[in-house]
Amino acid sequence: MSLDGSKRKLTCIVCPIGCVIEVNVSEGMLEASGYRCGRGLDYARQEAIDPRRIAVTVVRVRGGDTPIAPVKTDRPIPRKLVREVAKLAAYMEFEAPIELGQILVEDILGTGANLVATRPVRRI
Amino acid sequence: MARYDAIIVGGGPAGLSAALKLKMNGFNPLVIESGDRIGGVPIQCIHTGFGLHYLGEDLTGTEFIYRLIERVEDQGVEYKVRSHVFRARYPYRIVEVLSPEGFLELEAPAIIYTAGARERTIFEIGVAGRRLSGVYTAGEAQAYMDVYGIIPGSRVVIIGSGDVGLIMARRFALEGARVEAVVEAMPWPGGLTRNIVQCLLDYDIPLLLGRMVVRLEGKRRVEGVVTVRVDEDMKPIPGSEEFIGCDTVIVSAGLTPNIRLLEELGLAVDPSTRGPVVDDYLESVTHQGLFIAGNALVVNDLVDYVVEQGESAAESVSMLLSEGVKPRSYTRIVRGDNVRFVVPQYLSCERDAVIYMRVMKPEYDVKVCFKELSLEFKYPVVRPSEMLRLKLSRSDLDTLKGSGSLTVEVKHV
Amino acid sequence: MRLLIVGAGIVGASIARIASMYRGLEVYLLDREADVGWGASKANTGILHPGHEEDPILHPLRAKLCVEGNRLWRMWAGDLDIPVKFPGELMLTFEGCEGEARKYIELARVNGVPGVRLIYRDEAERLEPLISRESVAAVWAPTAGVISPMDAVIALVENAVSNGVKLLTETEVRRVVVSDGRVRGVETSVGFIEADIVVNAAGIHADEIARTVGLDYSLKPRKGEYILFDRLAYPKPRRIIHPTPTPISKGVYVVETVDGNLLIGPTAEDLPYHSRDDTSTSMEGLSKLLSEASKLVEKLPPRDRIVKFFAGVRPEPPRGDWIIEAYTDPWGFVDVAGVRSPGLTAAPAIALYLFDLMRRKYDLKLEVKDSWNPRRRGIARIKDKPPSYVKKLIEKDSRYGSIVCWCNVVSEAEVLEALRRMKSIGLKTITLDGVKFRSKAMYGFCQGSFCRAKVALLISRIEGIPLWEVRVNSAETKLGIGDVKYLLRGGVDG
Repeated sequence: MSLDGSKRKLTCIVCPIGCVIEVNVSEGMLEASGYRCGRGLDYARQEAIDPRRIAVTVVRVRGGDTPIAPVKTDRPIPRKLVREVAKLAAYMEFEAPIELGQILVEDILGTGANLVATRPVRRI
Repeated sequence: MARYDAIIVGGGPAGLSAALKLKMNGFNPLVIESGDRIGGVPIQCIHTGFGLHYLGEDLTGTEFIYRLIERVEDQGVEYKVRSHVFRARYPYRIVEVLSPEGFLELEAPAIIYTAGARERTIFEIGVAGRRLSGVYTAGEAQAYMDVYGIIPGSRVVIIGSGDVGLIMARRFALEGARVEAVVEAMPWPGGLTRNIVQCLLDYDIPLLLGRMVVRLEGKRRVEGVVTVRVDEDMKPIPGSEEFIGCDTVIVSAGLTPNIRLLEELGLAVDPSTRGPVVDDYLESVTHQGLFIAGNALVVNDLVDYVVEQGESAAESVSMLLSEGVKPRSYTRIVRGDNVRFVVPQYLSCERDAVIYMRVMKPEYDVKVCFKELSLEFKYPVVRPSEMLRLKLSRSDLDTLKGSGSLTVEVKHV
Repeated sequence: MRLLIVGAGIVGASIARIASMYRGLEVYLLDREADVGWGASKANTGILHPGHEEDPILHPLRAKLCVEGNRLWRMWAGDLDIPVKFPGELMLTFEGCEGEARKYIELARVNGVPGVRLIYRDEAERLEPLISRESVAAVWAPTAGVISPMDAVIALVENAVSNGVKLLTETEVRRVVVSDGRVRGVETSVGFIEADIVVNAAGIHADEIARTVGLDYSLKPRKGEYILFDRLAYPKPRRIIHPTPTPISKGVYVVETVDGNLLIGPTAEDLPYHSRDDTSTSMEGLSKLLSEASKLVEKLPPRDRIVKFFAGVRPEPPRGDWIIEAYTDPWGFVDVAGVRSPGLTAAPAIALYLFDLMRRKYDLKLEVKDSWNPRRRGIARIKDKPPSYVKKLIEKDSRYGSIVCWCNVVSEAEVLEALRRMKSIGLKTITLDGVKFRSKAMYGFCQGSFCRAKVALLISRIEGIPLWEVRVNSAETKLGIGDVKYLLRGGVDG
């Protein structure tokens, strides 16, 4: 999404109301309408300028009680990089055992986030 | 015959929480789990959104359940895996268990039934066609991808917009499959808004509302689905048939409490929840000594509520074990406008009561009213996909004295 | 002498069993599918008809062989350890149809069907309280039975193979090869197979086979849809209930299967010839069944108790009676075609009749082998068995205590035994459907959503194939397309 001259609607997910917030970014300035609270405005700002997500996927494991281990980034990363993380994970393979929370890849794609295991894998 | 203070049927989040609470209260429970390991469904839930209320953290299902599993191991809670409770004998509160150790008979003063829910099948939602391969329920597909590490297919149509289906839409899309559409018969989505945004909008997956899949096409493996538009009464609108090509169909038609064992005992079942009828102690109103919690009681959205119910059942059992059986009288809950279900269905009014309920249709700016108590709770929005949790205190309920009825209704403010 | 049977459905499998009795006969049983019984036999009501609905003048073979078959199944089911029950049948008549009913009493007398009586509603109600209050009378036929057709086909094939029959699955017969007026063999999808006698029991495709030797008839495809309810869905009748038959079909049955599920069906829909493999169900079919069944019983279980609905296509012969002939021109071509209802009931009798026919026509000298074993035991199950029996099984093999299918209480040992048997009869491909029919796993109210992965893992382990390669319902259809990262790697292995 380009940063200039674009107008879009997004649904706020902070609370169950789900306000539809219209955001307009022009000349580097953000205008928003339709939010009911400050948290909604913050969310809209973040989503419009720099949407971020926790990337969740799996990696393959050798010699473990399951053939894969689920992983996540330990902090939100730019949304457009989530698919990249999943694609990169397609070429990874790790040796069992794997501990819950173990850092498998540091600073993935230069995002500053680590890829951590979210389920332990026992060695068999 | 081995004796325990309580037998807990099912080692998922409800059962493990119940066991931990009982252990903490100084009792000796036994958890019996049919699968290869304890943990239940969260073991295959690799997405976040677990524990926001209960732990104040946003964890994956796997991280959440391993917190519980760690406490179970630390506390020395007894459990058996690969052990299946296939019959119970009432009023003796004996369970018959099949396990590699042999045929076991176990007795306890209380049974906490936490065997979760099962997924509704393609037949239950009335989709016709041949018996084709390439059709999976959402939970089944989740196990294939996120536990067993295989991908079912490359071009996917998802039937039903409940949360499990939305989560799987994202999983498939992220792992390189093409998700053609999520098809939802109702005019509104079945899952949380957060999931509509982060699973469908993020991945440009079309959500077709007010459309129903009527038939599958294909020779041996599915090759496509035929959808029709439906009106408010869910009747197909003639001439609106549309074909969507795919090689995989994911059925996300919702969950239903897995209470076969209880049905065989003749427990009263509430058709609006498809789960057992219970009181505010989470005890069956027809079968004393049988407690139910988690998705076996009512299909929950949040694991946090599942854990709360498990702990609540355990507290009730603790009270039963310390103070014995006490007679109770009940106020019956009556469902009013826009209330799909309320759990528990009966209140003793001798304690605080946690009420779980769902509305039938979305509504804005409403109040949930407890008519006979003149109590109101305001909500800016209520949706069927989001379960409401309310607390009524003992003093609130005192006037009812465990008799008559209490009407719950949703009114516009 | 080599005898080759085309089609391992209920008729072909019964013929194979009888063929396996004889010395000097090398027997091949062929089927185009990956497993046995996957044609019309798979979608069959499972009724063992008494025979009082068959007109001996219009359909002499149907009348004679149905009555005989009903009797023979009592022995065969025992020998082959096939679950069967004989609850009896009530053919309900409504206002103004008593004349119709008397017709069947007369047919019963002529065909020698024991115990058939015309009874009025109050007596019928005592036999079966669930019958519609609108009914006026009923034809009560106590010899009617219920069997599972798939259990039967599997048992017959196991017994035949154990007595020397060779089963060739995934082998589609394209034409019968004839030279100098004699059958030489068959041209198949895997090449030419020599044979002296070819028995055409190919179900809905029998007319295609017959055409290759110059016989010209067409079998009309008739679709039948069914609804199966959950075992705990009530109410369900104890007796078999159905209406007075029409020339097209015996009508919709309301019956409790041997496994205890309420089954309603079949519909009778004629399909265009080119759609003869269309086994799809429809919402119209579903509604029709529920409405027809509602006329027969006072109450049906709620719709959310439906476990599944399915359909099959059965072959309707041109003149209504079965085509059972042993030809001398070409010598060795035997036709057993258009075996519509009461085919399942008559199957044992058809097999014996056929051998009698062949003995005469082909002057065969047939001697029974000393080693022929009529018996076959089914898979030992733990479901619904007493604790002492279960304890013993688990002691013998702890895998009997490891439950794979919770809905139907099926243990790992039973699934492994099903796999073993599939291999021992010579199936080329192990499919999940094949395991389902033998072990009853994935057959319960969850229809596999809990246990299909576990069964597939067992197959993957035993067969030594990756999990995604496990076959579902044919030799080609797989559970998955690769490991979870397969598509992201561009659809490339490794």
